[in-house]
Amino acid sequence: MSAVTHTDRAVVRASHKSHPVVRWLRRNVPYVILVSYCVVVLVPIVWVMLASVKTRREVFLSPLGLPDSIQWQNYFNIFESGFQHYIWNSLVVTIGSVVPMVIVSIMAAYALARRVFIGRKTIYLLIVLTYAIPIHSILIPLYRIVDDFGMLNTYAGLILPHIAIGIPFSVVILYSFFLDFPEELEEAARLDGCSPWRILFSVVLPLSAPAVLSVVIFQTVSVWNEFLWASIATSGEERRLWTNGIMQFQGEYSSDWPKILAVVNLMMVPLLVIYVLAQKHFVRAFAGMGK
Amino acid sequence: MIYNRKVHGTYFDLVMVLPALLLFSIFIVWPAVEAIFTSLYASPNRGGDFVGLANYREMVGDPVFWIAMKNNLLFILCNLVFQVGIGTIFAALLDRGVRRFSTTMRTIIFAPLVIAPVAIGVVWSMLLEPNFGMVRQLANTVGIKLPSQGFLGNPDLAFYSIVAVGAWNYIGFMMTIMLASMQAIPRDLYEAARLDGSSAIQTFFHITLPGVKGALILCSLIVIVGSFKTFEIVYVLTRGGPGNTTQVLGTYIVESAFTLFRPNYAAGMSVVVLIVAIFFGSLQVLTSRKRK
Amino acid sequence: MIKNGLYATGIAMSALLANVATAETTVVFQGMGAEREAFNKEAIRLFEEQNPDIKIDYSWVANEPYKTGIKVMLESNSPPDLYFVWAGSFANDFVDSGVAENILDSYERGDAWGEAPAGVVDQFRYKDGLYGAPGQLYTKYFWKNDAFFEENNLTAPETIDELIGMCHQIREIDPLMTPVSFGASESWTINHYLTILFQRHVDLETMQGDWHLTNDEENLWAHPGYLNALKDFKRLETEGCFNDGINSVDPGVSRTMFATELAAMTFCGSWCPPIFNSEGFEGKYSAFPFPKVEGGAGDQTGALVGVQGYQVSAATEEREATLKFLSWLLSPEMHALQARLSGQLSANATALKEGDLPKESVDLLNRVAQANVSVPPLNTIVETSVSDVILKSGQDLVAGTVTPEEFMERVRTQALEAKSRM
Repeated sequence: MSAVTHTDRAVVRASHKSHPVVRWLRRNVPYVILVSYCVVVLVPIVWVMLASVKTRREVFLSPLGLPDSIQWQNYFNIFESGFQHYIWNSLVVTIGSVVPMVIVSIMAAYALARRVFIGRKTIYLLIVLTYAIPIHSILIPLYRIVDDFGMLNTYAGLILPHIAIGIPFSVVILYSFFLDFPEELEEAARLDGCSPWRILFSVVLPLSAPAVLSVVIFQTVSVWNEFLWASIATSGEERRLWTNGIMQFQGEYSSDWPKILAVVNLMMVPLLVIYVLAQKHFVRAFAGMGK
Repeated sequence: MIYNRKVHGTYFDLVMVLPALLLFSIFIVWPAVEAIFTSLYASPNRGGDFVGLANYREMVGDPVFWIAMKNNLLFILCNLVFQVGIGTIFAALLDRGVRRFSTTMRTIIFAPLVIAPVAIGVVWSMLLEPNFGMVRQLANTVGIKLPSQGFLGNPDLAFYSIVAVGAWNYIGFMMTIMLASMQAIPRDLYEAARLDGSSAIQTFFHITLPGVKGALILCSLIVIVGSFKTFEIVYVLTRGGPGNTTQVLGTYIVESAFTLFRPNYAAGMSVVVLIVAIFFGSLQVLTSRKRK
Repeated sequence: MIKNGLYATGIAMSALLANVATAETTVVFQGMGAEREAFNKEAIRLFEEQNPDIKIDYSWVANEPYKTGIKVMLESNSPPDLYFVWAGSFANDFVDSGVAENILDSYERGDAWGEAPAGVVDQFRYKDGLYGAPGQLYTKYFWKNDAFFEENNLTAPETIDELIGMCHQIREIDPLMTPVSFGASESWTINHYLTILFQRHVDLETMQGDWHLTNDEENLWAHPGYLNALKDFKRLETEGCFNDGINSVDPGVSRTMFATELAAMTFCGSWCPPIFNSEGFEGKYSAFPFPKVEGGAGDQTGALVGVQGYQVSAATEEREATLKFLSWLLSPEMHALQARLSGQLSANATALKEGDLPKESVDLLNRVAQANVSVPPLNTIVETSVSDVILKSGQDLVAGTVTPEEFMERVRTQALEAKSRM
């Protein structure tokens, strides 16, 4: 944060020499640009929140007005239609995917970065190659394989491919973290007679919390928001996830925007709140791709 | 107890790598290889025989495939300009242009990234609705006449509407990466520039930009890969329409496989996406490692 | 070898996570659309009460995703036992790919679903078999806002030209009133306009030959009436009959525009009256037939009428239980319940009593009975690859990126290609 104060001084000093108009512009144009864009970001979000408690007529005829009376039944309707069941499924799939994904990725990334064994380079290269493949590029065979395993419409059929798709990214991020991990600490533990397991769990992992947290946040957001695989791998209501539930809702209430937006809002607000509370970690998780 | 490093070590390495490797092989490598084989056969409703490269030959002559390809490439171009370009400008403004509220503004601009693309699509399809959408009503209030076909129903505007919604979603992402990189530039460089009497714009081009070259390359690769991954936003906003004008490879693969019942033809297109993704994805990881 | 090993691993993993199978028989029933949900759930509840050993596992998917979703499900190793279909090429495709079950035996032994009129049941006959049971009829008519028409001394237009004249008139009366609300973000809605316009412009025999690609190459999809039909459709659009942005308006929004008196007319299906009524528009609207085309080669009283119902999956392991449930779901008693709970036109109208259906729907049933010619929507009857071209090109036609001539050229090219494959 000290960088910012430096900048401040630089800006202030630089402005002393200039013409007052130039100075005023230099000071305010950045605000005008950024604040207007913040408005562009916020207006749709606020619109969703407001529209979700309006009547349909109000949404259609005065999109930016306040509701005459708050229509809570738009929210009751969500639970009457059983949407909580989809939310539960999404929670199971997200937690069921991210936890094992992060564990196996930590293990693999650590071994690949810090151990010497045959095939190490090849395995890492293979993982790097598939780092960016989108699910639609393997969708058809993946569907058949999962079907052959009898895993369509099961948690396993949703979870296992998510774990696999998440592994390359997680391994790459953790690999580069472990690669820079100070060797002396491990060496000291080894001289104390610690087994590799002890070194990983007692020495390396406690110091890797930021990297692991970044991966967890990034993958949680990805899996929670995933849509394509969830829509192909589930057909009935039994294992439907919230992203598909929203499309179903849109089909059911096509022109009843407040009901649809109530679901959108219900799904959007908790994540936004978590993000605002933990935004430092979110930003690091996403900026982490640049590290 | 004597610790046998060699034996223990091999066992340890195997246990560590195997779970990830197994899952990865079954659900990524195997389908990827299978996609190639699948693409060499005719689709079940066309006989299902081995046809060699016939699916690829058909692809070359399929105008919709080329529309989708062209749209994917155009996406790259537009997203580079809007997401990386604007993201960089915003990052520079946050880094050196403003003093107060910079954290608040960064928080706001980044926020759309945590909202699901499906939800973003649903919301924007309502905002852009040609009769009751908020955008229409806002334009009416200020007296702007919007095209009567609306945005998403107009073949000339639908694509750029999708680009705009994508930018709304991702500008904060690019901005964040660029900002992190800019904050790592030593402040005394700026001080020296100031003493030389450089203007803010000159400073940006002579100090900031060279300092963030690596991050720019990285952002560009992320955008290239991301543009080929595009699916949800197009699917929810236009389903590839009107007609096929906004079709991208993602939506066309899904449509060919599951609506038109031609999984093998779709697998052929998957292979094309696979090759592109492998190329740019590994480029991304390898360049970022080299920079270290 | 490796493949088998991987399979084994996967099966072991799925066994760990899959549900423990129960002893009772389960019939998986895949429905389409929210409009029948309340009825289906009630019918299932009553059925399970009487048959405690059979459990019905019911879910539904909205219209547009269903068209993709059902194909995915049927191609999988665990298809539903019973699923919704539109009679015609949509249903017949499943017969051709071998996933639909022939239920002729069930019909011949007199199962209750077969009590619907023979002409309706026949819609599921294909290749010497009977592949489906009729659940509902559907049709599509114009609807007008009665009060608005009365106040302004308007009467239902008889011809397309009158309709277009009336569009101008309405725009003058109230610039904010849309003459005909129309949403085509889902392209089947354009398809319905084209279905009935083609019917007005082309004689039935020629059309049937074009649907099934049995006309000879020279005359395949070459009747000049098609072109005129497209031009009529385009005329409706350019003369200002519709609201703005047709291609991105949701069909549901177009229904709401009519029911909230933002549009004077709309062309809407037999599923619409319950929706209008739920928006508080009950008793304020009435149907009139699609306008005539002067000099058109088709029957000018023709109507769009389709049959929809259910197919049994060929892969079902519970054939008898499925047929038992089907016969319950489509028994005369349940047809009456279906009419009451969903407002849908029953495929077996004789089972209905007065008061089961809203009066607007009864009116539709009478109108359908009087139509000389009835045609199902193009996308349920035309060969699939040709139908897809018609569906996709509809939005292009609205957007103005293809001319009617280019539209027909595309259709003909695809039809010739498809015919050469036959």
